[in-house]
Amino acid sequence: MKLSQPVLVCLVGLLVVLSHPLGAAPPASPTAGLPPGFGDPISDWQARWELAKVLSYTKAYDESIKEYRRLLADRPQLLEAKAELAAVLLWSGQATEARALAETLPPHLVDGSLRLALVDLHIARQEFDAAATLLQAHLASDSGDLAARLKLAEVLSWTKRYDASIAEFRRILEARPEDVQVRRRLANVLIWADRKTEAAEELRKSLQGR
Amino acid sequence: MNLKRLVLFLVVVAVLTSLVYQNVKSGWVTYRHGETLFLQGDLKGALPLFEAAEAAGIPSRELLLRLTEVRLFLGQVEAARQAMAQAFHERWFRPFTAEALVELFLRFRQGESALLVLAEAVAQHPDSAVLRLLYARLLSRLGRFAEAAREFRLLLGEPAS
Repeated sequence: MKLSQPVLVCLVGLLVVLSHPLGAAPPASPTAGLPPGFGDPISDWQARWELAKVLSYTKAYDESIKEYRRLLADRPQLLEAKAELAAVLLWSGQATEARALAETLPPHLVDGSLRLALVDLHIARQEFDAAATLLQAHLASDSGDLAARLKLAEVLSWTKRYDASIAEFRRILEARPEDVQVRRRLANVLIWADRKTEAAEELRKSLQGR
Repeated sequence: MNLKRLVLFLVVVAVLTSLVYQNVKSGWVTYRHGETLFLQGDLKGALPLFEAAEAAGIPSRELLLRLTEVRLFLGQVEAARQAMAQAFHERWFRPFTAEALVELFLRFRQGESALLVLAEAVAQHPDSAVLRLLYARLLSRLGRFAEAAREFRLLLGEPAS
């Protein structure tokens, strides 16, 4: 019997289909029974970032730093992770490295506590301009932080930017008019700025009620 | 002939639409009524309406979240927990809804109850990375950092030291 070409093609096709495992039941999915979405994969970097954070919470700083470094080797563009690493470095006592890393970051990404710690480092090294810049960035996001504002007022006075310093002292006193110590510091700066009448007035106010 | 077919088709469509509308309508109206009471602060009044809407089979993320919020507010933690566990069997349930539920449990300081549900789900589906991530995050939020770290390491396929 001689088969025509179309019939032969059909038979070969049928054989191919029958021999293919498509006919068999697919293997059970490990997330079978769960709604869609729960079987999706998770990016490693996402899990590593969260692991690094959690390790820092348990004060496992060395491990946390290791995970942050692995994360940043894979995803160097994660500036927030870099800022967190700087904080962990600071907590683990590696202040110089923390500072070097923080300086590579946009100011708004540096965490408030880290920023203030870095300010102290700058002040200790008499890098007052850098300290003032960090403090101004901090106050832009947390204008109610009077301790930071006081530090800024002092730093500005040390760099002889008296008008700016006095303005910061006055803002603090608007919020805390009864703070005698701040008023006396303001009086000092007024004296340095050669505004002795105003200084005397502030000193007088600081003695009222005593 | 064609006109007869068209009329028959329209009649069938009308009957089917009417049946579907009746079924859907009752559940949605109840849900909306519950929502009105909820927004007026009458949580006790809203609860049975939300429950009736749920029983009517309304597949709504908003309904589940509202029902959970009301139950947690009224101290019906076990009912809220069971509803969350049941949600993992619903085809419309999604990870972001699970995350929103967890937030509700945390807000009412019942995170441990949500953790029980997630722990059970993870035990049943150990290969679901999304579930394990939710579980690990909740452990972290509950301050159980060492356990959370273990879960994150498992997600990374690393030894859970």
